[in-house]
Amino acid sequence: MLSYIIKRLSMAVPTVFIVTLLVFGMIRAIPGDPASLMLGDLNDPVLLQQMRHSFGLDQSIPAQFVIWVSHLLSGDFGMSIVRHQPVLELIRETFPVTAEIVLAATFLACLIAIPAGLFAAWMQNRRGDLAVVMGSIMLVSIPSFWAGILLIWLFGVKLHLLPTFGYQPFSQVGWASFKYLVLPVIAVTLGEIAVVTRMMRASSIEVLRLEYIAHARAKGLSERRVLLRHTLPNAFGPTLTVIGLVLGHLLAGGAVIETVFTLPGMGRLLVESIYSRDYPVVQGCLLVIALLYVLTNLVVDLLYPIFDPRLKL
Amino acid sequence: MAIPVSPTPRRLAARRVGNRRIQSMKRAAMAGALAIAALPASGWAQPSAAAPAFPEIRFAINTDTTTSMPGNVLRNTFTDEILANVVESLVALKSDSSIAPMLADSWDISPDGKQYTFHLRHGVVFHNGTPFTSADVKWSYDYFMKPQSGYVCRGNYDGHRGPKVLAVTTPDPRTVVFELDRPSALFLTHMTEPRCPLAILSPASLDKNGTWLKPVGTGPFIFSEWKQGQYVLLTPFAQYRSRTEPPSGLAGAKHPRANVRFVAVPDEAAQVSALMSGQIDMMHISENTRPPSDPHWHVIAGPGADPAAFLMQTRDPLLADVRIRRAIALAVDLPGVVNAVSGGLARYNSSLTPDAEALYTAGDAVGYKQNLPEVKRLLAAAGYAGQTLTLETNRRYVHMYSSAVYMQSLLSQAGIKVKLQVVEWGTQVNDFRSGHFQLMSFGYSARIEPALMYGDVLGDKSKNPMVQWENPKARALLRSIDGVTDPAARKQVFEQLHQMMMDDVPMIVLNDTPDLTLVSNRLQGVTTWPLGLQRFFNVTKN
Amino acid sequence: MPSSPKRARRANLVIGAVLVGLLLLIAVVNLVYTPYGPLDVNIHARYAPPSLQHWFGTDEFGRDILSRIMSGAGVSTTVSVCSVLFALLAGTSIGAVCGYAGGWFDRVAAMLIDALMAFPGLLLALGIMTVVGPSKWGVVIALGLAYTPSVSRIARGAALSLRQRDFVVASQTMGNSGAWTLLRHVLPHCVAPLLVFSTSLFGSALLAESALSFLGLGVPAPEPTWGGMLADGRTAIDQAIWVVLFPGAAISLALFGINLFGDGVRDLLDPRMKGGM
Repeated sequence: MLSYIIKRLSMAVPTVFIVTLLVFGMIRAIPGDPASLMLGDLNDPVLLQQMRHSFGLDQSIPAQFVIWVSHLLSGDFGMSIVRHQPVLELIRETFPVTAEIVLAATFLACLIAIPAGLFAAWMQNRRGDLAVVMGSIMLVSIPSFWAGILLIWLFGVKLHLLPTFGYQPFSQVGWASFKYLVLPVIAVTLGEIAVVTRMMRASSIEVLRLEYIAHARAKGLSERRVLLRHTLPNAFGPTLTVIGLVLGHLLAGGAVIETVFTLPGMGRLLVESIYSRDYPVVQGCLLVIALLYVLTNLVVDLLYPIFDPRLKL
Repeated sequence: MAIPVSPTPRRLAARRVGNRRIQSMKRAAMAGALAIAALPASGWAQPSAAAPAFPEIRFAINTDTTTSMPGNVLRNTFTDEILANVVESLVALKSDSSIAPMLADSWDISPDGKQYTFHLRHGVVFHNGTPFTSADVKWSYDYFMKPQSGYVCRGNYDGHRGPKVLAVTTPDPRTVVFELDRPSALFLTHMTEPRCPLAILSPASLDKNGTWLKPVGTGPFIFSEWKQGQYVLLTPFAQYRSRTEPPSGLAGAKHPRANVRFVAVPDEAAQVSALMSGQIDMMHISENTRPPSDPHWHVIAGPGADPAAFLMQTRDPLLADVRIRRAIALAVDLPGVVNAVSGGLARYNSSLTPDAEALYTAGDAVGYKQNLPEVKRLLAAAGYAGQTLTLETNRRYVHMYSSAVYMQSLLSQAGIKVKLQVVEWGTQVNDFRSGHFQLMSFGYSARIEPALMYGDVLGDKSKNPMVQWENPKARALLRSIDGVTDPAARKQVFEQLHQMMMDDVPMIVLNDTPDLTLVSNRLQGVTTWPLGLQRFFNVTKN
Repeated sequence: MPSSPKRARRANLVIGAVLVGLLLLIAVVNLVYTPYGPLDVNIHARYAPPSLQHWFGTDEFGRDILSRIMSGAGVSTTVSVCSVLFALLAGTSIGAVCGYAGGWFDRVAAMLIDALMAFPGLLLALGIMTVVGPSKWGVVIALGLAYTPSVSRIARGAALSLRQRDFVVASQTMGNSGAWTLLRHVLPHCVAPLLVFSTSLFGSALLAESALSFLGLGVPAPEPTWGGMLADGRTAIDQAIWVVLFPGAAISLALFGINLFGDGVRDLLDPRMKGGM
């Protein structure tokens, strides 16, 4: 087990390295640089030089890369050019917001989707199943940003029930912090319910067809027992993989939903930093996202054998 | 209030008046000191602790300030806005961009224009209670001129972009003398520059190692609390001694009446939602945002000083012909476009001098009048064969995008083929700075004096691709008033420059982007200012 | 009840096909006719609510929303189809060649592909768009590149599993070149899984294009895109909800049709999933 983990992690290293190289090059290929963007229409070459020097931009790109990597290895992600805060601090502030939404949405989605998928498989091809199937296809067709805008309109503008922008962290206001997350989580969950339901239904159908299920039924076990004790755990395995994919996808798509709800999350930080050419922040965020992706896949692969003993690591 | 270089007898008389004023002020200071000594110690030293409970005005800003030091290389526009309420300079700008006294009650300029003697106010104290003297002026100036401070406008005082200050002397605690190497019309103006004011700070702004702590100034508000990335809190300075002149811009009487919290809300749509739900009281808005009319809030509109302009690359093979540029200028109903883009809030102003400024003249008001037959004639004479021109714009600044949309449609209707190219703002700035465009819908940020604006627009494109107008005569004319402080003379030159620009058509100036504020009806006393910085003194909340 | 599920599945396929057909029809019709020009500004009819003159109302410039939605259908369809084709072509070539060739070449390529997949698709597209600048073909290339890794993975998987199969070995023994074997024997077997995947890819591409336009980095204004219309209308939802209601409904209906259709296709082609979605 340990050797497997080490092997996977070591295989991830070249992947992550390639990602950092790509990111570094790409962000600098974008026309414009943060110093001239901050100066705007101001005509002051001396000041421009001063600023570029203070941001470390007056050196060659390979030199900048080497400097960045060497700082990385000692845990220093650099300083944001636009906000003048350490990149790691910005990530530490914004990542929990994204993570809360992603985890809450995934959890909520699973809470609804797993029973729904199981139910649909059990009622296969009867009305209940068709309702679930149609419902999930409808849900997955609604773009999360449209749902978000409509939710803002309904609950924020028309009903004045919930706040429609911003965020206050748990550490400051306790449970009241969740009222900022209700709408975004709903918007995101809608689409994800569908994906997890589909997978759960498909794998449950597979399991229900197996001989030992018929055997269990023949033994006289209650239907509930058959479903919960025998079907669910075995059907969950493939669903876990999908959940892993969903998590990864949400991490990336965070930018859109955070823009709609103006949440100070990492996705938004990333998009804004691309617009303002804040190189250190973009590099840091994408590195973190790539690492998370790799880790999530690793965790999913490790958990899989729990649900499917046929697989050995 | 421009101080002319006047003949000697008047100056001597002023000196006498000044002396008498100094005497009376000394007496007042003595009386004041006695009264102050009678105050309980706690109320004097920590004004924020003993201040009565103030209401809190919440103002939305797009991003948090990046520094608390005025004029620092890390600053952004919100730094300027916040600190304008916290620090003061020797002089201040009124709303028509003329110079008014602030920490200096009066000043004398020597006949050769190289010596400025400032007579400082009495009885002013810093936020930490220490009295303000001429030594603080010298200290602040020396601090900003040190490279380590990161002050962005050293060039204004070391000869690069203005006169070189040879010496700063303090003959007595109420007098400061600046010696320049040459006369400069903009020496006082530069001190009031919103993005790099020559703020007078107390040495207590630094810690014992000389690192910047926070701005300890003389302004009506104290920089109380800064939660990086989230908000800045200003509290009223109880011991602020307001001037008595009527308030105008950053000059005149300033009375702090509430706490002010600058909250970072990154998105205009979100700011509007926040205002409607009562989470904030005030915000800047752009012309295109129309909040629903409601008894709880209203929009305050005022003239601005940021020229919106339609740029034309004069070095482009097609646009190098002034007849084509002139045709473009005459092809569109420019006042109509300005009216549509600004929702009626801005007027067509063809001049680089903002119409709200004291230096604006009737000559500046002469613009282009739509003349379609002339357009046809010009295009034919230039041999225009229907080539398509590219008009670059962005989505970030709504007015730039809107005017581009209208211009593209209307120019096409007039027979000039234009295609829109929407790019991201960063790319557009890059193209602007490199001159890499044909037509561009752009907006300049305000300059506080027309000479600064013309100075950035005139030049030689082979040396500096950012300039828009190549005309050596105009450049020479602009340089000729470098040392001329007389407003009448300056007005005349600016009028002439405007006329020359109208003839050359290097760009089409459309209007000054209006200064718009969305305010909750609970606030009283909010005013607009062409330079756009929101001032929170004299504003109350109930 | 045995006929009911089959009928139900066929109904899905039919409804999906109808909706997709409607989308394509609108995309084509828009080239010839729209009630108003999608770019025509009308200063006097800004933010007009839905009425007989403007069925879906107008936006901030007085442009007719119905016309813009029709035009947006054309843009979205073109961009989605082209980017999926790009991904299919590029991904299949890369994946099939890798899977078939095997060895160190395959391993290195797999590592590169994994690296690209660690890069969230939307962000990769975003990065490319910021470099290239908003443009229609930039979006096609960006999305195509973003989807190529997943397509190549499928193609590679199929090619790998086929490498040892009898007919492939037979072809090689007969003396056919690798390339010919690849083309003639391996590729046709990749088609089925790829076809199924590409229907879901088309839906993702449509959604991604809307998301990019929403963020301001998709097909540039003033060309109407559904995502762009949503972004524009956001600031006006309190006074003109129709500006976001209709474009969003258009995206949802289009995706709904594509998803139904894709499921129906999968049911037809993949007998294992006969009971599946």
